[in-house]
Amino acid sequence: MGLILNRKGVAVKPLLFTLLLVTAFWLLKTAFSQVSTGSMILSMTTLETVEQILEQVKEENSEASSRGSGKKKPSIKEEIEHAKGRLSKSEYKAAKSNYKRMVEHVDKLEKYKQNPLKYDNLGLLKNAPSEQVKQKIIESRIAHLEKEIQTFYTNIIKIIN
Amino acid sequence: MGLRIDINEVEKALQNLLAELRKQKGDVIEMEPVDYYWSIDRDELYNPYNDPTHLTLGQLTDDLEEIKKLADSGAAPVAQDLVKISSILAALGHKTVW
Repeated sequence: MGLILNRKGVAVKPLLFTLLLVTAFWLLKTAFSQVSTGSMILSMTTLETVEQILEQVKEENSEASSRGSGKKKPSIKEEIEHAKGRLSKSEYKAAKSNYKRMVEHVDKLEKYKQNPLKYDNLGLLKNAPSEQVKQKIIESRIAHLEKEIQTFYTNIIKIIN
Repeated sequence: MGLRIDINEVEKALQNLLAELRKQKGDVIEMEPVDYYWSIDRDELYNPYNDPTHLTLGQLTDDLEEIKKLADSGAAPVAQDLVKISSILAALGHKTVW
């Protein structure tokens, strides 16, 4: 065995070395492409609080953001696009739909906060028995919209991860 | 063992239910003024071991608006729409007699 290796050593060593190089190159290339398409990101950095989610959604949908000025981390929208390659068509569609609805709800929440009475469609808030009850209704309604936004966000994370 | 839900059964049951509701009450139903309703956090909703603590207020008129968008524009539905439509169905169940 040792004799054979010794005899062919001149030819085998470079061959093994080349093979090793090719394998290493292929592994690096695969890893790089996975990172660039986002498929190696097993879980994107999740936002902890509803305030963080609101801030992020507002930031990425603001004028400044669309001009691309000084963005550091990928937006939720970008995370969805990165995940596209490893999602089924329906998963990708679901992630995008949840994102759209989340943005709409962020807008709805902002408008509600500015003027809760405007959205008191049947006058039950206006006719609340006391100012305290009125305030409680407004706060609970805000909490509900925030919960919905959080749910849309959590669903996006679950779909893309 | 998890809960097994046959969507075909749910669909058929809903079709039968809504057909009967339409027969009994017509195409458009006017209810006494109800709009806000208490909603339990989804993490607490299915936990029978603890009392729910995080209650928020849903709004039927808002849910209806969302469902109308879905019906009119064919906007892509998402899971959360099932929750919204279930609130409307619950109100129909609670507030009509037939």
